Formats: sequence, structure tokens, C-alpha cells
Amino acid sequence: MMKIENCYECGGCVAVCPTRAITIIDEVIINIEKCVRCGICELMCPVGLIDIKSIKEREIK
Amino acid sequence: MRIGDEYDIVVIGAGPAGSTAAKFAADKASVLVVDKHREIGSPKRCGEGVGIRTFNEFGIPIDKRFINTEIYGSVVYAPNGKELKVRQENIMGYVIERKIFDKYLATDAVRNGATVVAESHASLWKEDGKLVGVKVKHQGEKLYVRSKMVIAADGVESQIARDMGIDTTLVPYEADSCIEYEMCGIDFDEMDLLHVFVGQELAPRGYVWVFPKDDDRANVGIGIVGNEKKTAKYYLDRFIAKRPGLMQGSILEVNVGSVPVGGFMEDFVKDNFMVVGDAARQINPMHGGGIYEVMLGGKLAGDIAGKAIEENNMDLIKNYAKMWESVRGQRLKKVLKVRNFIEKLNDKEIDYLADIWSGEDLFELTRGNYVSVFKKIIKHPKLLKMAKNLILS
Ligand SMILES: Cc1cc2nc3c(=O)[nH]c(=O)nc-3n(C[C@H](O)[C@H](O)[C@H](O)COP(=O)(O)OP(=O)(O)OC[C@H]3O[C@@H](n4cnc5c(N)ncnc54)[C@H](O)[C@@H]3O)c2cc1C
Ligand code: SF4
Ligand code: SF4
Repeated sequence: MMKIENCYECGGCVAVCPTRAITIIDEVIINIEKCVRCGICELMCPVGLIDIKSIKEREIK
Repeated sequence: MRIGDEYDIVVIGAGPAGSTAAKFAADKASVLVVDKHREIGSPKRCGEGVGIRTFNEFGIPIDKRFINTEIYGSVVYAPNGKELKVRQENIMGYVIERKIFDKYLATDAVRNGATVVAESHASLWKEDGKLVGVKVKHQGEKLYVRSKMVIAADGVESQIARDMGIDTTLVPYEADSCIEYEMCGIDFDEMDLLHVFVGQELAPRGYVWVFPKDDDRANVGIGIVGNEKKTAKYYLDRFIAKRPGLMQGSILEVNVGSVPVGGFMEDFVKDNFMVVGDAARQINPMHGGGIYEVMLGGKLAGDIAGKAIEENNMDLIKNYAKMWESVRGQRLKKVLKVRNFIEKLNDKEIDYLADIWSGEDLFELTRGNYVSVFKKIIKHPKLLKMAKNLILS
């Protein structure tokens, strides 16, 4: 699970995620098990808060 | 306030779509509306520009508590700075206080018999694969509410429909990625018009808006195509930085959001379930204005849902798609055609069109009336060909 910091909870990333890896309940969380690293949410975020590379790094750790 | 155990209809989401659906359904059925936010209407994700017809057609009072500025027209600025202006004698619309407006719509639903409860996060409740109601998390408490029908008006995220097996996944290309600042202390002219700046360089496949709220205060926002690499914030900050009259302003509020501009969906209904509003992509695909469209979508849904309950015939709601198509859908499909044309233009071509089109022409285009407007393109070979294809298609 990865929490998105400073998020506005606008739901744009949730709407475009093809695997429903992102949920907003009080905070915005990416379920890294469900995420296929397509990067669509990263493009969609109006303020650039999502960094899929950082998920990849976490994966390696 | 206690949420009851059973209602005829539960509406998920108390935005303009949900509250309007609830208001009209409540004529004939018991209705519960739940919204996950602690305050209905907040945060606002909106430029707050609304046409006068919304007030006329839905009988909304011109109440000073949510009317901010009277709007007499608009100016569209081409990439080369050319202005296409429409100014009328009569009021064409308003810049509203959206938070108060949304609350008013919820109030209206309550006064018509619906129950509205904020801070209530809903998910679908199914038994043996059948939808039997909703599960609600309300102020830390988990409740089960039975209902004969559920209407999802959960906005752009549209996850409730996905739980029902209706694929509402948004393609970034079909969405606008938006950010807006409410700014005060700005120096900007003609604060009784809506100002719109277009150009692929300025706002790829979108536009910047300055919607006035006082002589020195406005919503300054941008929407860009959802698959653009640079962020909406990058483009908006760059736009403001180049304009000293805006740059000197303070920021009172920051709003972030996205708008589904790819055209409305086809499957609004499944068994005893309906989708309306932004969740069903009922929005003007050219300028992304949704308040009028989603209220109309909500009204039609509320009417038919109430009737289905009254006559105890769920099959009635299957007619929704057809009703929407004839009342509004056909027109919005024409608007989508216009957008498909406009989005392919480069800045030079937009400048060319700004020379041959008037502000009134643009207004007609946002309503899907394109044939006479496109006929004005006679000299530009590429655009002429595109326009011909569009008119003939
Ligand atoms: C930046 C921006 C500027 C805009 N400017 C304009 C404009 O100037 N003029 C105009 O006409 N339109 C504008 N729009 C579009 C307009 O805001 C929308 O079309 C409109 O709000 C859609 O209404 P709705 O009721 O369908 O959804 P929403 O208003 O989004 O309401 C959906 C509600 O559902 C609730 N919800 C979601 N999931 C759940 C759940 N699981 N449980 C309970 N509640 C839930 C949410 O809390 C929310 O309150 C703009 C949009 C954006 C993003
Ligand atoms: S990168 Fe992961 S979280 Fe983002 S849209 Fe793709 S699957 Fe969803
Ligand atoms: S798109 Fe960005 S701001 Fe919006 S909810 Fe997702 S991470 Fe937050």
C-alpha cells in the first residue's frame, strides 16, 4: 500500500486506473499489489503527485 | 438524524445530479441520499459558471446567497490574442457560489421529502449477486440500508457503477485534468464577462478560464487533456506568471479536479441500478460545463425511478437511455463532433478561424449547431476538407 501525500482527493487518478488499484477513503492509497505500473494515473494527476517510479523502487527494496 | 433501515431508492452522491434525482424521485418514492463528504458542496471543484437556462428550466430562485456575479457574455482569446466577444443586454448566466448552490439543491430535495445525510460513505450491498441496497459508513458506524433501487451519482470517479459491472474506466485522453485558484486582488478588465483563453501551446486540448466573482476577484483555472506529460498546474502557473494583473493577486482557494469530456456512456441502467451525472459522463464535451447537463440527467432519472417504484415495475428504468438521447443526448453528440474537429487544430489554424468566426459562432458551436458555422470555412484547404467531412458524417 502506498499513500499519496499532499493529495487533493479529486479522484482523477481513481477514475482512470484500469485495475482499480487506487482508492479514496479518507486518504488516497495505491494498492501496489493491484498496480500494473501503467503510469496513467501519473499523467492524469493535475498537480503531479504520483510517482510510479517510486513504487518500482519500493518493489526492489 | 437517524438513517432508516429501508427506502425505495438510495442515491449515492449529493452533487447536482444526485440532489436533483432525489428531489424528483421523492415525488413518488421514499428516498435517501448519502454523501461521503462532511459538508455537501465542499470542496467545490468548479469554475462556477452557469447559464441562465439552468435557473429558468429547474425553477431555481435567483437567490443572493449563491449568486455571485451577473454575466452578460464571454470573450474567447485566440493564441494570437484576437478576441471573440459576445456581449448581450440581458443576463446570460451567473458565476455562483457552488458550495452554497449544492447545499441549496440538497435542501430542495429534503423539502420535497428526501432524506440527505452527509459524512456517509456508501458501497453496494448485494445478496446472491442481486443488489438489495447499500452499506453506509456514517460517522464511524456501519449501517445496512435496504432499497428497491440504487442511483449512483458519485461523480467523476464513478466507482459504484464499476462495482455493478458497468465499465466506467475513464481514458485519460477523454478527460480534462484541471486546477483552479480563486484569486483576489487581481487587475482584470470586463468583470461581467467569462474569459476563455485557447491554444494548444497555452492549454493542450483545453483552455484557461477567468470567471469573475468581484471586480478584483475571480476563479482562474485550467483544463488540459488528461494524457499530457506536463501537469495542469505547470500550465496554469505559467499562464499567470506571464500576466502581471493576475500575478499580483492572492490565492484564496485551490481546487483540483477532472472532467469526463469524452461523451456520455451508453449503459446507464442495470437491473435496479442507474448511473447519472458526471459518473455517467453527462457533460458538455466542448467546454466541460456539467451543472446543467447533470441536473437534467438527474431530473430524468429521478422522474423515471419514482414512476418505476409507484408502478412497481423496475423495467421502466430501461427507457432512461432513450429518454436521455432524445431530450439531450443527440445534441451532446453533435457537440462532441465539434470538439473532435477543434481538438485537431494547431494554433495557426485556430488563429485563422478566429478571423472568420465571431463570438456568436463559437456560442453556437458549444450548442452543437455547426453546419452554418463550418460553412464559413472556404479558403483553408485542410480545414475545409475537415469541415466537409464533419458536415457530411
Ligand atoms: C475544475 C472544474 C471546473 C468546473 N467548472 C464548471 C463550471 O464552471 N460550470 C459547470 O457547469 N460545470 C463545471 N464543472 C463540472 C461540474 O463541476 C460537474 O459536472 C458537476 O459537479 C457534476 O455533478 P455530479 O452531481 O454528477 O457529481 P459531483 O458534483 O462530483 O458529486 C458527486 C458526489 O458524490 C459523492 N460520492 C462519491 N463517491 C461516494 C460514495 N462512495 N459514497 C457517498 N458519496 C460519494 C462525492 O462526495 C460528491 O459529493 C467543472 C469541473 C471541474 C473539475
Ligand atoms: S500506474 Fe498503477 S495505480 Fe496508476 S493507473 Fe496504472 S495500475 Fe493504476
Ligand atoms: S489525481 Fe492527484 S490530486 Fe487527484 S486524487 Fe489522485 S493523486 Fe490526489
